[in-house]
Amino acid sequence: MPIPGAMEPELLKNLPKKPFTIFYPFEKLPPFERLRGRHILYLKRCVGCGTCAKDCPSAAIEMIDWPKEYPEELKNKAGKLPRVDLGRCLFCEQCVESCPRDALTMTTEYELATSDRKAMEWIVDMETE
Amino acid sequence: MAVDLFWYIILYLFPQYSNLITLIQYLLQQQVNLPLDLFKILIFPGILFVSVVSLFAEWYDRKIYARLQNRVGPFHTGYHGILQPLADIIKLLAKEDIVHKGAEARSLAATPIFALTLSLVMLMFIPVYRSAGIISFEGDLIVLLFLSTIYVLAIILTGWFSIDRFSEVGTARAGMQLIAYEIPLVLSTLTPAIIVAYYYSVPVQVNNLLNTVLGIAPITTPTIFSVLTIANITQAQQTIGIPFILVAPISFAVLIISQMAELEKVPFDIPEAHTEIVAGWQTEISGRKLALFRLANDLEYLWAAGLAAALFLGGPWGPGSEIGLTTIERIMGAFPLGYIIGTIWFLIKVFAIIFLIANLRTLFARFRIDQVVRGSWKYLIPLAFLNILILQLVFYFDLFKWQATYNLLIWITLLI
Amino acid sequence: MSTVKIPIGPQHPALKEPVNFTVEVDGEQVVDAKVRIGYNHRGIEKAAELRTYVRDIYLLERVCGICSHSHTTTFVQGVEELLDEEVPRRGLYIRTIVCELERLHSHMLWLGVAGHEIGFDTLLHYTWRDRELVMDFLEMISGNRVNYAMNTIGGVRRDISKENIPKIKKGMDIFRERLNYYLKLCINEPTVLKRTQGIGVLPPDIARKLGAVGPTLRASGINMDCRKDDPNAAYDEVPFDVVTWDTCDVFGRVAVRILEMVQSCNMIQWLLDHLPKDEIRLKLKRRVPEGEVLSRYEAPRGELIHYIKSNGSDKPERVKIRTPTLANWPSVEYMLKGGYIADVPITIASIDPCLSCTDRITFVNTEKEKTWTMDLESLRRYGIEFYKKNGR
Repeated sequence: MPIPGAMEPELLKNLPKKPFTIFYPFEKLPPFERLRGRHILYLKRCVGCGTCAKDCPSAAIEMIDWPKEYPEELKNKAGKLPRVDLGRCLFCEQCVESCPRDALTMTTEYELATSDRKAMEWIVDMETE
Repeated sequence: MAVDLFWYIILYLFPQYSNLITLIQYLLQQQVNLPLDLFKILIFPGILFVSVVSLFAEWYDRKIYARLQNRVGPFHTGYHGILQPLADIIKLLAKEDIVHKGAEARSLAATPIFALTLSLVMLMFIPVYRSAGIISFEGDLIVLLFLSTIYVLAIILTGWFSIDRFSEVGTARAGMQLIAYEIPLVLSTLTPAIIVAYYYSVPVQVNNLLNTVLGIAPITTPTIFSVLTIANITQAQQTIGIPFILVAPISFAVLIISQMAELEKVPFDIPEAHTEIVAGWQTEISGRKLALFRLANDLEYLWAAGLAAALFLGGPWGPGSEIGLTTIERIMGAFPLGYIIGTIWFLIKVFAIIFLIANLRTLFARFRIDQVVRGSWKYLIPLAFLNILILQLVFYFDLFKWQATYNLLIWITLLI
Repeated sequence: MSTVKIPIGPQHPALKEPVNFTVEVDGEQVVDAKVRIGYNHRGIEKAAELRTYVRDIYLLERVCGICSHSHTTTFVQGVEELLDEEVPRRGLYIRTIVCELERLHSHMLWLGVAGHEIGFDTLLHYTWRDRELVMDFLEMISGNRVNYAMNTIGGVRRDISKENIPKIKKGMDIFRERLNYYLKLCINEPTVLKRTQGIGVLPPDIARKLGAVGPTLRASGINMDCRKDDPNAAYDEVPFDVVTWDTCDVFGRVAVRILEMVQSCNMIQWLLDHLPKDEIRLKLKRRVPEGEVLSRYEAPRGELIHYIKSNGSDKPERVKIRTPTLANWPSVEYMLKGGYIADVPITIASIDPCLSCTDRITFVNTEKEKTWTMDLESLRRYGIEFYKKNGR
């Protein structure tokens, strides 16, 4: 019968090593470059067709009327903008794929937790470009 | 004067209890140095010191366990998590104590208190600052082993009184484990006693030899020398000069394994196997009872390490543990620095043993209960006997040359 | 001698997901065992009928978190077969690479969980630390650690960039070394051997009769693997061996899974070396012609079957899923009898149960001894009648 304790050399090697744990709120790993995070809409390219809302698997995107805070000159023909409910969003990127004008992208911002449910309904940030 | 009047009145009023009253009078006339004894029991190697050291030992054990697995362990409470065991106990004390229908509530409430008291009392036998503990009398090694068996009885009763299928299975397993490890534990603690008995029997043998040859008996030895006393075993290591772990290493290994079975550490944590029977005998206790059991478990851990340190490593013995303790210095009233250095040596040895047990805890998977019973009777008990056999052979052929040294010294003195 | 019934119930530290085993115990020996499933039923098959094919991909991905890519691969394969289109080869290769990476991470997770069930927490922490390497690669390729959403009808959605390929290949070398260490450890550590050898024995003829799949079947010596019998994606081009083991016990399953992981490492390195320069996806139409298809794939746990029936619109008419864990439950009932209580958790864990996958309801009528399943319409009618009878 083999001697018990086959893992002992490995254990003793790990004793002086730095632990593998990352102390999350105090130190963070840099995210990978194609991590799916929060959405960004390029206003100049959006035509308001609504394909992103039709294709979203969890019905998280809703087309709303052009909000008053956004500049009027960029308003598109249909007069509508997508609004993403980040609480229902699966972060699957289907909206990015279905958009015929490549107006939606996802950034790598993943720390989106909040305690207010209303704040989750995010009118997609705009980039005038 | 008033005290004598008091006792006279009592004896007049209750003549039928005269024997009992004389006994009480005798006990009260013992020399009791009340403040010093209270200090010893409550604070220094008593309840406060031992509780603090055992909580620290639990932190140390968890940190070693975590570091060996390449993770962090307790970190956020206190400096590097040192207050974590205390935080656990305080949290449990504050939780609701649920007793389910059908359980015997009063008996279930009594067993944690019973276990906690027993572990505190057992800890008073361990020599912390000098070679005798707070409680020390002749034959206390056997009493200590007996008390440890009763501690396991508290565990079994807890599982029995909470009438729950998981607790029943846990209780049955705890009972079977008791059968498995009890004998190796006793045998391995008796081995240092055998060594001490032999060492102190050498002058007696030489004495007898000289008596038959020369007609005189020059060596004086204590006529009654009790071996089964922890104080004497610890003192003997100091006198002989070797810690007994070098003389009987196999017994030390058997002792460590049996203590791990008693403390229910992996690979022997079968009665409270977390993945098989929810929590075994601990399933139905919650709140304050669980807090007391956790504390009792920690104290038991310290007791096990302390016993191994006292019997095999020499207790509070090391260079510098004699400062301020020789007879002259005591008469002169010097400060007993040796006690403090002795405590430090004792703590170092205890933490070395806790490191060893934590390492063994990380290394193995859990056994099955029939494998424990079978393995213990097939392997552990023969190993314990093997060491005693080796020791008997060593002493017969006098490999340590104790007898030869004695003989040589006697002949030299006689010649001179 | 009376026996005690112990519920290894819906809530138990040994189980990661709710299932109920009522184990009849005599002392410490198990006399009888009964399985009851259905605690995790979420109505996914009905929900799949209400959504278009594109949205269904993401729904079916969430049937299970650990084998999510297997579900999407099987579904998408079936729809591509209905559409009668050929996916470009680079897309197939990338799909296979992600499949094999998923097999790696699933088996590594299982190894840790098995260690935890036998009380060997150290193995849990070490294997899950090494699993982080695979999770980093998955995040590098697809953007997410679980539920990667790589598949779409017509190919894959993301490409593997040139800088990532050498990193992944080096990572596979490191991973293979760690796997060899774990295999050596499991063979040489007597405490692990005592808990896994001779336990949960499933003889080959009974395995075939009860319909076991996956590593459970291959540890009984039977050579059956969907990747070789019915190759899909790029499996007909990749060279690999099917791993079987002769002892029909839990140790055999441990060995089979570790060796399968070594095979997966080799496969990933071969695939990365031979990636063809091609497109990764085709743009396919949304309406699927009428027909029905049965698509199979070897998920990490065994053989996964999707049956898709379409009626010409862009929503499927019926999607039925038969997961490997469902096929393995009768074998568990057989394996539990005659063992000890202490063997129950590791036996259940050795088939790698994934209760999220097992999401169907079966009715068993014990008087007439008939078994049937209901679809939603009859279930609804049954429910309405039941409540009418018993007064709402």
